[in-house]
Amino acid sequence: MKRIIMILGILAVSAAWLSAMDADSLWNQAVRDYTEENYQAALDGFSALEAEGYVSKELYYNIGNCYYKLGNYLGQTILYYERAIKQDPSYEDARVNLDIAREYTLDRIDEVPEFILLTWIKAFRDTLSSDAWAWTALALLLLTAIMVLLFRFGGSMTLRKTAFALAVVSLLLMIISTVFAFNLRSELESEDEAVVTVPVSSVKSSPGSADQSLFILHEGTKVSVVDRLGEWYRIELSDGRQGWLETEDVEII
Amino acid sequence: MTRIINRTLFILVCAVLGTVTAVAQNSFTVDVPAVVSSDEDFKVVFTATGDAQVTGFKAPSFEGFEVLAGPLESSSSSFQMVNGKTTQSRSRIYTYMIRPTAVGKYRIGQASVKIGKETYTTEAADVEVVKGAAPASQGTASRAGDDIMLRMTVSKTRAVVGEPITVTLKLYVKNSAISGFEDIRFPSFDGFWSQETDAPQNISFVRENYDGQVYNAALLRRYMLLPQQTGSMTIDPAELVCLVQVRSQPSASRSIFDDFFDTYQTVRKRVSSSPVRIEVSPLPSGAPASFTGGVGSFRLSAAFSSDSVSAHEAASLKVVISGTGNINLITTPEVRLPSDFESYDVKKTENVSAGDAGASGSIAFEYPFIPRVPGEYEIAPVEFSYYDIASGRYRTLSSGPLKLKVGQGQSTDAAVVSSGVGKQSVKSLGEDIRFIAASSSGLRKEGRLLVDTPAMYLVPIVILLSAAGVWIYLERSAARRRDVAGSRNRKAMKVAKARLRNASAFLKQNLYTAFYEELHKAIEGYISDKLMLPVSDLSRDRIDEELRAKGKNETVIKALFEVLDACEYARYAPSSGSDAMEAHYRQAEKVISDIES
Repeated sequence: MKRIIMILGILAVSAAWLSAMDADSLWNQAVRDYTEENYQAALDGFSALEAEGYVSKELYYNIGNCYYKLGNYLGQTILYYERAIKQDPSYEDARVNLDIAREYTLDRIDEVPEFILLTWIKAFRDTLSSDAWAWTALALLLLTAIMVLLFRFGGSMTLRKTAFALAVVSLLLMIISTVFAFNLRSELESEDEAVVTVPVSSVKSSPGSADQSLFILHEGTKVSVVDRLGEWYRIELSDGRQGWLETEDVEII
Repeated sequence: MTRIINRTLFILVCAVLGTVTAVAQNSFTVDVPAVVSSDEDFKVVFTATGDAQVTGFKAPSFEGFEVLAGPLESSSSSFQMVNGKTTQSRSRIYTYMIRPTAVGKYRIGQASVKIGKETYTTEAADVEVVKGAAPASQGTASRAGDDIMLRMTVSKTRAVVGEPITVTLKLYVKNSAISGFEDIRFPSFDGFWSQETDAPQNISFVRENYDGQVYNAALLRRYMLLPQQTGSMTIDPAELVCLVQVRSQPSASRSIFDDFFDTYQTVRKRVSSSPVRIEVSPLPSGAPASFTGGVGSFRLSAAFSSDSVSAHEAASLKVVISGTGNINLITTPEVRLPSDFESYDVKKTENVSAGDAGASGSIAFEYPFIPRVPGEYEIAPVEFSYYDIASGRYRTLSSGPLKLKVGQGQSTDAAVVSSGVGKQSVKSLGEDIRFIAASSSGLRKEGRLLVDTPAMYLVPIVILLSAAGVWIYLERSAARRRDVAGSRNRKAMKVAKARLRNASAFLKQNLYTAFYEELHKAIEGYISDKLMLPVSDLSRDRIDEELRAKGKNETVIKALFEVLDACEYARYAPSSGSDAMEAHYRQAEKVISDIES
């Protein structure tokens, strides 16, 4: 019993020491390893940071790059690029690399084109992070309040007219910012997308390995998770086809 | 025996005829079978051919053999006239009949002869004597074609992918006479890259020792194989049908002619080789990046056609790979020429001959290019990797850095007329993922988003509450201010009246300065209250402007200013009498009441 306590103590101390150890130095060592083309060591370094609970788009992006350079990890590469993009949908480096990595995927699924206006709105939304939109909304609320006060107590007619117009505009923008902030939050916290991480995975008509195979997916293909039941995910492809996949074949972004 | 002699004569005549056609070339050769059986008598024939008298034949020592007869000499000569040109050739043939004394390998030494004045010697000839029956004359085989076999031999049965293997297909015959072949099927060599290295047009039999017996062997085909797949590979057997001449069995109605003219019949005999199994193992892992499948032993050299060229002048880089192995399958090595070079299709020149250890020779790759921009260029070394079979590991050859000096050349392109630098778009040389993010600035522990924190709700509440507070405060203070102004306005008349009363008291006491001071205060105070302006802001212009804005007429304003003037004047001037003071008091009262109305 004493021994167990001692071991637990040592574990706790070492864990504390690891977390106390400068995350920056671990990061810098991993970056150095990557620069020296020692990709496995770099991957270990970045993965250690991830295991520590660190989260950042750069971390995911770097892990994706390490997997890409190591080769044979197409699924993991795409998974981590997607995670980086999930953190910041306007992360251009990750998007470029994801496009390159996707060249190697075997499945070509025709995507149903999105309504162009929605694409524009999404692109505008993705220019800022959820936190940035939230701060913007708060600032706009303050501006609206000031403008309302100015409209009510302003000295001259011109000032009051301007204040009214500004109050209306900033109120509208505030509402939009708030919606964007919450919208991005829900996308960030959603777990409804996954990437196939095994070379070949067959999609069944129902959750059960003996059932009829509907189609076969290859490593790196992105699917949306509609439902889950035990060890099975009900997935949907971007062209609308649905089926059941074993959870170990995919990893949630 | 008679027939053997017949045949010999025939061969001799043929040989003589053959030498006749090969004129004007002195030669001295020996013809000995390579393998004989221990109880066989055989001939050794020395042939001297030349355009002069053949004399002084010196026989070799036939050690290990017993000379039965010889030398039997025969000679022939021929004249030829071609286009009036006469050539003469003589040939002299010395024949020995000898018999081996024991089994083993023996060497027949050199013989020499003089043709004209020159001495010629033959090369020593090796004879292997094996135990067993000599190939007997045709027709003695018990069944036709039983002594025929087809053998396929491979140089090795274990190889790595790409390692050359030589396959030899030979036909062995002991006694039968073969007049032809039919239905020849050579193996397809599935899983191998194959090349015929020897395919004789005329099949010639050579005596050979196989399994202690003397056979007449003929090479049918020789192939070079390069394994392409790993695993246990089987080479299919080769098959062919031999047409064997068999002497007819003596029949009852045998005439005297039958004895003299042999009759033969043709028997078809199918022979096939046994299948050969070859174990092909894969190349070991850890191949260098520049490895493209070369297996064997190679050398590499690379050089520019010239160390310095002028811009816009064609030049080339020549890379030569030489050695033995699967040189036929070597692909073009990668050469990264600077992007300012206009490069053209690579020219490949092969000089390869097939041998026992695979193909050997050299392959030259020529990379033509035209440098467009002057400067000194250093091109990354050309690398070529191969798997060395002898040492069992990969070797990488490098050409070393290649330097090229491109001098200023004259642009021959007549279309280019513009002076200055020719612009070109930045070319993409390759595609790779972007580099990692080096800064750890974004690194943070997983935390809550702002929208998930209470701040998202508290901050707006604080903003709204403080805004409401400001609203209420401003509203109240505005109301108060309105109230103050109204009371001042309302009280203006009262205050003015009180002041005027004071002034009238001073008037009665005839206090000149005090009266005017009080009168001035009364009017100024009244105006200040009425117009809601501080006293310090009261200038004549301002008063005039404000009163006009209130719709008071010219005369009232004029009267006001007259009273004010009088007050200011009276402060500094001596008394002008109580009448004037009385008049000014009345005027002030009138002005105030006028403004009030």
